[in-house]
Amino acid sequence: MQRSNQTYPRFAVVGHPNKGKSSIVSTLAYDESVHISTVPGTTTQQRSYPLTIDGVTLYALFDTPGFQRSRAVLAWLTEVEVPAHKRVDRVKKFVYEHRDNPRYNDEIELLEPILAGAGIIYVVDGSKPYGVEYEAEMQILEWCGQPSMALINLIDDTNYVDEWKSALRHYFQMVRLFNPMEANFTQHIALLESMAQLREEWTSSIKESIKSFERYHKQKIRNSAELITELQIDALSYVASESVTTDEVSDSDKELLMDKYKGSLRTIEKKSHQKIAKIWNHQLLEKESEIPLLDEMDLFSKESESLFGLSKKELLVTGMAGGALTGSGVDILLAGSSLMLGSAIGAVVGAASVMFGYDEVADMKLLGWKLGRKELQVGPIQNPNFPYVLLQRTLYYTTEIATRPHADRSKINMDTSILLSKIFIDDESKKNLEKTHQTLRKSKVIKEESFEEYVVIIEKILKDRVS
Amino acid sequence: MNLGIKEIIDLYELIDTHRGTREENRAFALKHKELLSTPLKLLGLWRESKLHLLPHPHSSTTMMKLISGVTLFLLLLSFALGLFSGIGLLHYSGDEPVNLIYFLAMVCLLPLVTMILSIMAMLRANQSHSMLVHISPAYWMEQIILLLPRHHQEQINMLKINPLLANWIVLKRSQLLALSFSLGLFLALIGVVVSRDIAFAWSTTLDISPESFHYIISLLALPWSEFLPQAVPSLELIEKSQYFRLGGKLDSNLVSNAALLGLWWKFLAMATLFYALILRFGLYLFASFSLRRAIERSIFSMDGIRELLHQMQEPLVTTQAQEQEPSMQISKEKSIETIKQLDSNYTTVIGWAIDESMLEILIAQEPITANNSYLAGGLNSLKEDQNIIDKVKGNILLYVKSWEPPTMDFIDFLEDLSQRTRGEITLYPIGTVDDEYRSREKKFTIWEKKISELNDEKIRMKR
Repeated sequence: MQRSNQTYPRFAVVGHPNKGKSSIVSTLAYDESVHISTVPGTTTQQRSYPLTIDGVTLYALFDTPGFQRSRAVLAWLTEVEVPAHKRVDRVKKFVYEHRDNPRYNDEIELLEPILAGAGIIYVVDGSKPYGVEYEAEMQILEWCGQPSMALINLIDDTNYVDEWKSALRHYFQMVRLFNPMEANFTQHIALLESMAQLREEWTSSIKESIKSFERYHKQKIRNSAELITELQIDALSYVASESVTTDEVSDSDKELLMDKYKGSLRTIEKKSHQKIAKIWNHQLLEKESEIPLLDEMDLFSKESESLFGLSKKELLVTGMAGGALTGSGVDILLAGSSLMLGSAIGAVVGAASVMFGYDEVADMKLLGWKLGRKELQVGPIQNPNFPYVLLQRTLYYTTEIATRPHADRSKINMDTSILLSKIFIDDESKKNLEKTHQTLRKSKVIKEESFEEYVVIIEKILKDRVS
Repeated sequence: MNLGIKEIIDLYELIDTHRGTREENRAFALKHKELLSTPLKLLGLWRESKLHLLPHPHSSTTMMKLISGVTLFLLLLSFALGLFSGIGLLHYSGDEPVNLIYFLAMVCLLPLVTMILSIMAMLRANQSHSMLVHISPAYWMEQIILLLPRHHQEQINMLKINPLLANWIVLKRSQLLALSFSLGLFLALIGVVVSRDIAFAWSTTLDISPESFHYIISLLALPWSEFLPQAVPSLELIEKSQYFRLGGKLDSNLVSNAALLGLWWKFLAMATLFYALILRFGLYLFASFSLRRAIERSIFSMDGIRELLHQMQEPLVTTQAQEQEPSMQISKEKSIETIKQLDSNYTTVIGWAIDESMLEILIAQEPITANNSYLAGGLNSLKEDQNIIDKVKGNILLYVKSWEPPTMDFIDFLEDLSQRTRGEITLYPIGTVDDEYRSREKKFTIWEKKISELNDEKIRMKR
């Protein structure tokens, strides 16, 4: 069910060609499918991007073609004397009379939503000098008499914002800076808050939209945290096996199975990343990238281990703390009468598992089986560093995806210096995560409560990184 | 509704085959808004609404029939085992009395020991490797399933039950089998007591005095001693019912108290009822309750359930366009002549949408001479531009701002200009002051592409 046209605000994103209108719409609508091109005239029709919550539209954005013959339109509008209160009618008359004239297709497309009541969001490029040719466009928009706001988009690194501001203030109620290529969630919300001020009747709807976006954002973080937890559990408890008919297993058989095992773990990671991209509406990015993020750095490479994993010392401390936390369960059960022996034993076991498992990937066992066959089995993963490598890779991936504006179509580059500054899990979280990692290493099933604990830790880390 | 194993099997199959779209699932949830905060009920209702989509007979029905069949068989087996054990234990040849210690061991000691084991297993039921669960006879029921036809085995194997849930299934089933066994024992006791005249006595090699034995018996009878005192053996009965094997024949003392010895049955019946049946039934109820809780907990770890619940419980937010954007028209590549050096002389120099001072700088920094210079576009009216077009002759140098893409306003002007002049038009896209008026390659390419579409031989571009 949609609200009637009169009850939800609409905003037409208009401007000169190639000034980032579609980029702004793409970022605001979280839509990576919007065509963005350096070639002017890519957008030929107005296109609506409504924000709907359970089918109810809260507001709609319109992407429109750029002005092409603004001086001709203005000349037509001003060829007769028109008092201010009749100017909108004059613009309507222009649209009516030129609807079938292909010369004015772009102007008609961009004026139509405005004449139907949409607020104006006029986009300019603040990295280029102000030009007088913009004045015809601004005058036409002024004639439409709708609430208006100018967005200064800094496409390049040069800055002409001040001269733009001086000009734009004459025509628009509000002038704001907004870079769709770098805008984060907070900037998006701030822009919506500005849009809410354009007309009093729109305020409640936009405020409601802001709340919905905030809920939607939290929901995406929570869903990502659950997916990451599922990935950790699936990967860390994964076991691969192969039937063998002989008593002796050759090294090449072992190597083949180990390759199969690693390959499966890579696939599990990849599938999770695709699901995370879907949560953040970035499916195309994942599909179209020639070398998707992290494919350059293999999951089992030394590079991954050194960049995403923990040092041996950190692992020892974490292993001990995680083991002690598990052992403390026994102490609590015995109401302290164990003299904290549970924690002490847990710590020793945790540290020992780090010492013995540091250099190995996973155990390989030859299991007896019925009907004369045997089974060569590998897994679950024993390397105490692997859970952190996998987790930090996924956290990094999620952060990149979640903070990437939908207008940004460039390939994701792995800048290791930035990456290092982004990777951080505090000691307390590590200790709690380690408890679950140890459980998984022992092939035990993770209880719902432990799953939830893990999700909460991941959710907190993501919140800090993404918001 | 409560979710049981059957419902879980249905959910498992429905999620795999008829999960539905996000929109459909959210629409379903919105129809049942009152259940949004009770996910299990919501899942139950979702299952009911989709059940008709599954092929008949439902896998769950087939599997439940199989499981029920196997369970019934085992129940009958344990009942028969209990019945015949009871009859065996109460067998009275007439030569010597029935030693009630055997029967007591069967109805008190055995249930108490197995119940303690069950309780220990229940305490560890949330661990995946519970040894006590694996030694339960109910666990071995799975082996009976291996005797079933292959397609039935495959159906059962298809169901990936959470190991923690499986523990509770075994534990509940164990209690049921024990209950059936005890019922057999109880009925055997009642049957034998009704149909035969049995002399109960007690005998042990251990040095236990009747007083001590009375103490033990009183302890066992404590639960019902208040409301059923006649089912609590007295010290006198215990003293008179002790017998020794020496002699091989019935003690004359026993024979003289034959009527009294029969009174033991009330105690034995109550012991069976309380220890083997009531306590076991309590444990069965607890296991059933725990299984239900385990189902509720494990259901969220089932593949796809979490996602389905998200789809139902979370508002459906869409921000994207409903209709597909028309695909971009890629025009055929055309070429335009580009030059590196300007000519030394132009009849007319025009600056498009630039101011006069900039045009002067541009002309001054190039080694060119020009007869006339004009400013077009920008704040000019279309009429003023037309006047310029009317005036131009010969070769024209046209400066444009490369960072502003060519609009149709400019193209109209250029086309008119080209029609008017017989000379060549050199288009010179310039850069910003920051770029020292040099156009960036990307911007130049945009202009080159657009102008080449005009396919006008009079126009060339200065790179």
